[in-house]
Amino acid sequence: MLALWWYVLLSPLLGGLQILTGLTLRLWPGAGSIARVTVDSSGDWIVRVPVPASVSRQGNLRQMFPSAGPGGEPVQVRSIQIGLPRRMPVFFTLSFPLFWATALAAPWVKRSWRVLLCGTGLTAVLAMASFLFFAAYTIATYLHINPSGLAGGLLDAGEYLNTNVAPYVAPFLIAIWLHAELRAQIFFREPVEAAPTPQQTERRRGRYRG
Amino acid sequence: MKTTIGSSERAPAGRDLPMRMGRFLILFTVFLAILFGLLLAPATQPGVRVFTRGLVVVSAALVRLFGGRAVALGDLMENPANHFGVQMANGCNGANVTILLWAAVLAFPASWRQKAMGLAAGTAAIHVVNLLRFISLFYIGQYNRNWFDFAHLYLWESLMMLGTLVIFWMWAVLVRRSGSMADASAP
Repeated sequence: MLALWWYVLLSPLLGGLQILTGLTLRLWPGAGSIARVTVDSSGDWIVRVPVPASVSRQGNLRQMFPSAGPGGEPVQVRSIQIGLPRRMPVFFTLSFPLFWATALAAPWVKRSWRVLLCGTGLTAVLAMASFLFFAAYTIATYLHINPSGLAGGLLDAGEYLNTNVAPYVAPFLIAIWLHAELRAQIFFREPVEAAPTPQQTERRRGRYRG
Repeated sequence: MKTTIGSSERAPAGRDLPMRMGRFLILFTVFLAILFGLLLAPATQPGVRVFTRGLVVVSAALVRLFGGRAVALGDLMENPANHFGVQMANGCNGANVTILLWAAVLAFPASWRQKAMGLAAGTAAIHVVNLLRFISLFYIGQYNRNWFDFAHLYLWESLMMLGTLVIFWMWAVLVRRSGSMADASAP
């Protein structure tokens, strides 16, 4: 499945992820036509998002983008564009082959098609959310607007889980959640075989005699 | 003819499964949060670094044992002949998948003895596979950089996760077959 993903499915998956991410960004309140996701000639993803007024008024941004001349108005940052390496969106599509491999390896039943379809949809949402979180974190780090203290620690932990754990774990959890037979294989206790009851023994004995 | 044993030891009814699943998911999430919190806490970082360097030392020793050339330089394993080095970063020391296995085993309804055995055997298996992964990446990187990237980012990470799932699954099957799963009410 990894080979199929790498050689055949990667390009369409990246295209789909780009469209889904772009649409989600455009639907974001206040984003309008500013937000967009494009791919440059080297394959890196260029993400452009609006900067909320509350963020652009922060001191860090004013220091980064000072006024053009002495005594002039500070530069109003309305949007920011950042380039993200291609390997990141590629990495977030890894969840697809992992989910498909798990779902296809599970016992095949009539509902398996529905599991595959729903799981693929959920995995797409997960890939998009992971990419957007990564992009937001990268932009926040670049602008030095990451929160400090506990909130900052939780954000760092979230980013660690987003890029080190979620793409590998979520496909298996989605498969187990959606696939009842797979779930039952893990959580049901197998019926334990027992010795026949005395009545059955008697019946058998009688049959053998006859 | 084979028969199954009485109702008190029968497999749980369909309505018990969501409850068991829900309980597992809640405990799994709680244990995951606690263990990842411990892994990422500043207080545990020196210990994590020592552990990571220890893995690099063992890897380099294994390479030399089989006739290869490698030296451990902190968290870096280097070939002194061509100075190619592979760094064992925080996510490469098998801690992530170990935590996932621990959270799953601790959340699963089993006796404490079974859990202890599952944790010990599972952790050992994960780190044996991780040593193989690190050593193989050391050789693949010297051979082809593109293959190294693919093997490092996608192939080995997926295999490690799959291996962890298989270890957990095998352990869960053993627990189910032992018949004590339904009796274990505490995590």
